[in-house]
Amino acid sequence: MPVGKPKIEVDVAHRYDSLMVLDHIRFDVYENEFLCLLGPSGCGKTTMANLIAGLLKPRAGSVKLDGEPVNPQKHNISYVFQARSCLPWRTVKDNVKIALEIKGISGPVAEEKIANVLQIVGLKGFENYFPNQISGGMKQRVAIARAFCVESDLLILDEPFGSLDAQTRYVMQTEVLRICEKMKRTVIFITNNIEESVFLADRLIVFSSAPAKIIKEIEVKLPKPRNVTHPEFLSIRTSISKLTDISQDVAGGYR
Amino acid sequence: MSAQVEKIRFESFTKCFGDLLVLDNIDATVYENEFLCIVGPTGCGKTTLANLVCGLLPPTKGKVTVDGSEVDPRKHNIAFVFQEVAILPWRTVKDNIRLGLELKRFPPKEIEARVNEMIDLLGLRGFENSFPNQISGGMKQRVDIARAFCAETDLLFMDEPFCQNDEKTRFYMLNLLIQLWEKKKRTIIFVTHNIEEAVYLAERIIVFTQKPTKIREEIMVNLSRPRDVSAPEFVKIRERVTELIKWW
Repeated sequence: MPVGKPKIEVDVAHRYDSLMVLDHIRFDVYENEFLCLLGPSGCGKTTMANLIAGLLKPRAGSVKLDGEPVNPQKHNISYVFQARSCLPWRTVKDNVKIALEIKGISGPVAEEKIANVLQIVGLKGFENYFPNQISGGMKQRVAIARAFCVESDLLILDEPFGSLDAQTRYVMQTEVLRICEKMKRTVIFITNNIEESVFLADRLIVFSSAPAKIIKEIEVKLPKPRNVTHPEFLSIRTSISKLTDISQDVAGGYR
Repeated sequence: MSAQVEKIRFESFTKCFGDLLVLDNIDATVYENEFLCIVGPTGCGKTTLANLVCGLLPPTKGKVTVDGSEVDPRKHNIAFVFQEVAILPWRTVKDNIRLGLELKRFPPKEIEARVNEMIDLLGLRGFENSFPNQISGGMKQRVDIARAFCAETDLLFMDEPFCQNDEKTRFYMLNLLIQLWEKKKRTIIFVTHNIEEAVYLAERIIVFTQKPTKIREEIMVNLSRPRDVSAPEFVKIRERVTELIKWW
């Protein structure tokens, strides 16, 4: 387990009217840690992301960042959503710039930050392209560049590669690890893909189907970059697969 | 491998969009009752192939034959399952499953018997009269598959049907598909980006190259079922296929 003081302390429960979504969830995130939250579709992972980002107020409990209640106005939290979030009328460069504009950063400092981050995500040369001129994987990289170009206390990635094909996913996963290596960040990465979580995480938390409960916390000690067909990798994956139930949604009606 | 009766043949199958050569002289045979997977790098033209096979697009050169005669949607039975579930919201589960049989003018008694069998095989008993908006996403997917399996088909073409499912659900659906195929015996072409999925399902894998797409290699998967994704022989085949298409 990581040592020291946690960066984020999550201790929440949440319901929408009578629908219980998160049954008492408690976990910590440490500075510069890559934490994966893994759970089946519909288990409440996005609700959790919204709670952690301070976009949604928990019905019970709290989320603390550096010991204080999380506050989007005060803390720098970057969020990459599953849905593409590029503005179609802005170029790649100007899409990344939004994050800096909002923080009031402009001029040569902003230009340098943008150039640097575009270089890191592999979009150098595409600065002046519009979103409809680049591929799905590249649009996702724009969103990631935007999230990484400001210093953030926390970066939340909510199923960022959910709509990409299996192969492009491998590219993007490797990219994200490479970027994190270069720009140290505290990351919460949300996914329903077991392989993806084992590939990325320093530590991962496995959730049950709704109402979400923590089933297990697993530290993945394999060195990065990891090999998805390495026996140890496969054995971790299999052990996680055994922990999780198939979602009610699918099993429903099957006898 | 199933009995080697030639069912489907691609002969010098070629497709261009303007100057862009997508499929370049594909020659391939699919055998009767075979489970064939096609994998290839992203953007290699797998979906174009699907559109050509069903006659939505004409090939630029070459042809596809079924039992020796050129493919004709009116004569041959080709069923499709796509990534997006395609069921009619105004029809019940049962009426969605029977749709293909109705169009083929099967006798009512036979329709009834076949639909009933599918409802049992896919665990939809008790939901026959539910409408699509009353059942879960996973159940809708099973209705889609039930319809595709309901009639004897010359070819069942599946284009990434499970890529939106979470991992556990995906394997559940894959197992269900294998059970159906073993029981009902169909000729299946299953297209996927997911190499592990291809090795899990296929008797034979055809690996495509980048555009302009050719056949890079054919790989036999002689592993007993159910297959174990962490078994060394499984991993060996998976790594071999990965090596062949790796562009990342």
